[in-house]
Amino acid sequence: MEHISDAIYREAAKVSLYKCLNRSTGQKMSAGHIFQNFPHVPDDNKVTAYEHNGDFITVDDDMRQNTSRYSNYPEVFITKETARALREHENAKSAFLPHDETVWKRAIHAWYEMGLSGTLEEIVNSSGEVPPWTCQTAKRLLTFVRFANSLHGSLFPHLSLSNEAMITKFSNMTNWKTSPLRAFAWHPHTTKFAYAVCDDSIHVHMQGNELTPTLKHKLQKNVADLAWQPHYASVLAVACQSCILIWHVEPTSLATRPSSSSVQVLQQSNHCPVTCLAWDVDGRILLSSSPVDTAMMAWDVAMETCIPLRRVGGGGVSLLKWSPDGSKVLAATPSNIFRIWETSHWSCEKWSKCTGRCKAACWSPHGDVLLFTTENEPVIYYLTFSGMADESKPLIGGSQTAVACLDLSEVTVKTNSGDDVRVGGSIQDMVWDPTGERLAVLFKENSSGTNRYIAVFRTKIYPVLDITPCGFVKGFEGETPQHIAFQPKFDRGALLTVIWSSGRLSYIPLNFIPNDMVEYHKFQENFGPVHMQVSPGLYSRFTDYS
Amino acid sequence: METLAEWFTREVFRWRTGAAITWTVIMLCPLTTMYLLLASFHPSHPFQWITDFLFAVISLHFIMSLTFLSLISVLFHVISSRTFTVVPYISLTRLAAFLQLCKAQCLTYGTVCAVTGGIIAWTCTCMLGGRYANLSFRCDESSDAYCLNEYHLFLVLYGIYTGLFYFTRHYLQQQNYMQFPALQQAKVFQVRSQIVPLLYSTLGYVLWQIKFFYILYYFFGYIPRNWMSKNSSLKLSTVYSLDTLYGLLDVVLLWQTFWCGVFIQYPWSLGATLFKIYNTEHFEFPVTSMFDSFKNKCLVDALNEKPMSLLQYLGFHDLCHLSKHSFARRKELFSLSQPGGHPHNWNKVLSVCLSVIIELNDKVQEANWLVLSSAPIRQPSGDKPHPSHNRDGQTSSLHIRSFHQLAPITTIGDETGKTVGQSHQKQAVTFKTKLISNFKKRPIISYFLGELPEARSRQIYVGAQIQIWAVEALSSLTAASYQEDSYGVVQMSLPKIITAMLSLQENIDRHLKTAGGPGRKGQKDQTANYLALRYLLQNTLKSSIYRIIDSFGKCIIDLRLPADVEKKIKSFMDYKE
Repeated sequence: MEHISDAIYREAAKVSLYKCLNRSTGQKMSAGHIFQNFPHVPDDNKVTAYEHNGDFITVDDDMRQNTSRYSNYPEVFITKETARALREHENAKSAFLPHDETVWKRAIHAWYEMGLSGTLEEIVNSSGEVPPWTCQTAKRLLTFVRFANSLHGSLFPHLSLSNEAMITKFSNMTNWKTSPLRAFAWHPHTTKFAYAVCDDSIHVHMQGNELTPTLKHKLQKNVADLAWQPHYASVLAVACQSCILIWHVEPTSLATRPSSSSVQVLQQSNHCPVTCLAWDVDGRILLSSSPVDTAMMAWDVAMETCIPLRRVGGGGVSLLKWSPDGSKVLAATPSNIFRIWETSHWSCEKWSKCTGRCKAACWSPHGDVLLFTTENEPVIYYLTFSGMADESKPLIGGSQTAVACLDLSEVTVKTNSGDDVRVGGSIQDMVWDPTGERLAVLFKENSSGTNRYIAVFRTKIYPVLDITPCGFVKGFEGETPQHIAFQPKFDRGALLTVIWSSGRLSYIPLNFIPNDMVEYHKFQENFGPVHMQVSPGLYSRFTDYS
Repeated sequence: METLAEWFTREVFRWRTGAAITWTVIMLCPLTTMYLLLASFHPSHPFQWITDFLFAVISLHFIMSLTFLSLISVLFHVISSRTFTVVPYISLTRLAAFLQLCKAQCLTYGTVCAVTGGIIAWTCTCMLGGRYANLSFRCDESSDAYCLNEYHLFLVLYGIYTGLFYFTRHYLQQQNYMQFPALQQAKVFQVRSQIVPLLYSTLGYVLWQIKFFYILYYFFGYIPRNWMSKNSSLKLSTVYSLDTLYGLLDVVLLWQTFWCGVFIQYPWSLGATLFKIYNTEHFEFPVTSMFDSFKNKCLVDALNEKPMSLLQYLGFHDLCHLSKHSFARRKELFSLSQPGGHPHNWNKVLSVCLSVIIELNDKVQEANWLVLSSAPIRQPSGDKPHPSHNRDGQTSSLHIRSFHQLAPITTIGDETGKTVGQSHQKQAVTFKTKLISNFKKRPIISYFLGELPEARSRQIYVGAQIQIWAVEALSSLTAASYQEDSYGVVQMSLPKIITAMLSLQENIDRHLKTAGGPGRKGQKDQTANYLALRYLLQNTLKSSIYRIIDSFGKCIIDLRLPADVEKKIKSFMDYKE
């Protein structure tokens, strides 16, 4: 099925969006930009602390102590000094091998480690030390090798990038290469998270535990993504340059450096660098993808086997998002194509004719709405999916067209104190909170060279998708956000975590009551307490039945 | 009324097998063409090579060979279809592994493989023509005497050898083991993703086995040759003989032999793969049936179908699929009977699932006891206190049992001093056992008779796929019941489910710790995937318990669970397991 998102649909969507805005804000809107309708932009010397009664509360910049701390959540701050010290050891090889080793020797080492493509890459990386023609030849050969490895018809420019450049391009971190933290992942069930530092070690933090295990392994290089296994206490999948590592971090163990015996290595030829990982909701299957491989691998981790899911076209898989209900997976490619897979029989629908590569995407909690954005256009599109009509036949049920619902192109807005700032631009990443009520958008660098604000929107999915402005999140002066994530389990609304360029991790609680809870209470008020006689807990029905 | 197994064989198994064989035969056409193209390769005359090939392909001779090959292949795959199994055979010793080949069924299949291999190689020689074509040729242009064509014989013998090798690999390397894929993709994509890796592995494998044939032929090649010439009154050629170093260094012959081997092996392996893909496809059994003739062909009957394990596997596979993906069928499972209002459907499924879980649990527990009882018991020495294991009731009962097992041995030791006759007898016995144990220690004999590492542990988990599906299905159904079970039929059995899962989980954890061998590191064996089933079971159990706890949340505490189970559940709730 081919789907077109053409101008007509986009216009229609804008109109409907403004209708939504009108209805929800109750103001008469001028034909302005969405950012004009945002609450005030925080001043330079203010820091966003939390959301309360629908407003973002900012505090003064000098109250540094309080902002990166939240109840008894672990406090994380990778200082500049440690980050710089770490960055010098970035390449593990340079730490161990004498520096006067020639490029050819290194190439031979790379041959033993990673084969032909490794050698070529080593030569391309050290272009200063080899004659230019060699470098050129190596580059072409590398392109050819990767092209030959990924079965498809047309040449893709991303295949000639080096591993690091490729990860930087496809990671959801802004500036993956220079960022002090390179990947971050929340545990799906408890207050526990892991992050990768630029020296390729991974730190695991748990609530109420001072112990922070540090995970290191000789194959753990250029970590691009982390993912915790659902329905499991402490299994972490790590996407590395040459393989996938599965760490079993014993939650009750007192070891700060788990040994490499608690690691499983999953390796597949022609499937590196791995840049994206996604577990299915049951934690049974791990999907991994690499921008150079047209197949995404479905790993059975316990058996250490994998099944390739290959479709020709696109040149690789750059982004994977499993819908929260587990029924669908989005797989974006480095070209203008993305696919939606259904997970009972693993068939897929292809969406082409996008304006660019699908850069970021997020699913609604029930997996019926998908928001996505392309690389070179600051517009968020949405797709709706209908439920299954007939269970015996797998159905993806995507709508015929992708509809543009938000235009976030760059504009100048005024801060509280009246200064002009530029906000918006092309989108780096976006995340939807698990209740489906808040959407946070992280931008790429705009024309002023930075992008200090994260835009947060209120969303309502039923009866029609409705996105309204909520507020901006800002860090300390000079900090730019690198990565955003919502904690999957949070009782009082949603908890947004932001990694800043300074190496600081901040928690921004968005306090609100989810809509369905409100509806439920309204229902109870109107129709009386229906369930009051019934005791809470399981045995209500159980005792009735017996 | 016909039984479920009969019905299944007639309506499902035969159709699936037939489809697989049809596709194998269809694939045979391009494969044969490719073979002819590659085998008749002439580097010096490329143009002639292509034209010769094209003429050969459109000739009647080729089409007849192809028809013949198809017929042979259909026969071969029909016979092979009985050799596949869903439960791999695990032998305790190497000798036992070889002995399993000597069973009647295996021997027949071995003969079939060898004969078919020979016939295919013979067809190959016919298609190739030239010096391979006939068994005999005129010794001299002038004379009337016929000589034995050794090239022809060589290829046919190689065909037989390849067939035999395929047969041993089929059984010893468990190529006949059907593993259900983790994802249910469409068959086309499954085949597509396996065709190329299979070709690579076949090429490598043929290269590996061809050298043994050359060595064998070098030393023993004269036996079949002389036998042939004696029985068919053909003369031996004086010009050349192949069992010399010079004769075997023929590159063209090696090339032809290699492709002949690939041409025999690859379609067979492809056929086996297709057979596995078709027969491991998901099959939907009805949860209940309104028709009388189908009353005994529902899901529960499939789950109980132990004699035909493929059917039982498909049943559990379907149950697992149902529990995850099908709302309508879950509803049917949770429904009450009319009239009467009993949850028969659920109760039946639950009892089957629990019984397979408990069955494995008992096996594992027994193995744990064996390990504990065979472990050396520490003598109480000096003021060192007894190592107390009385943390929970189970371990203390283990100790009691281990003492019981030790008891008879000590009494025998006491009695020996009493009667002389008995002591003689005993001496003889010890001498015999000593002799046997000495005998067993000899390198070659210990190679065959020595117990393979972990073999016993493997034997326990050999059919663990059933338990994996049962556990997964139960947990998914339980999790779904929180929303969908309107009569609360699942909640009745929740304590039972949780207790069974937890005890199995605990026993397996203990077993993998004590008898797990060297752990999963270092046993990266691609051919023996089933070895990792125990780890999969361990993982599945944990995640299943987490899933139940996750969906029921704090309500779990309201269940009246035994104290130790509750303690365990609490640690699961804190995500500390």
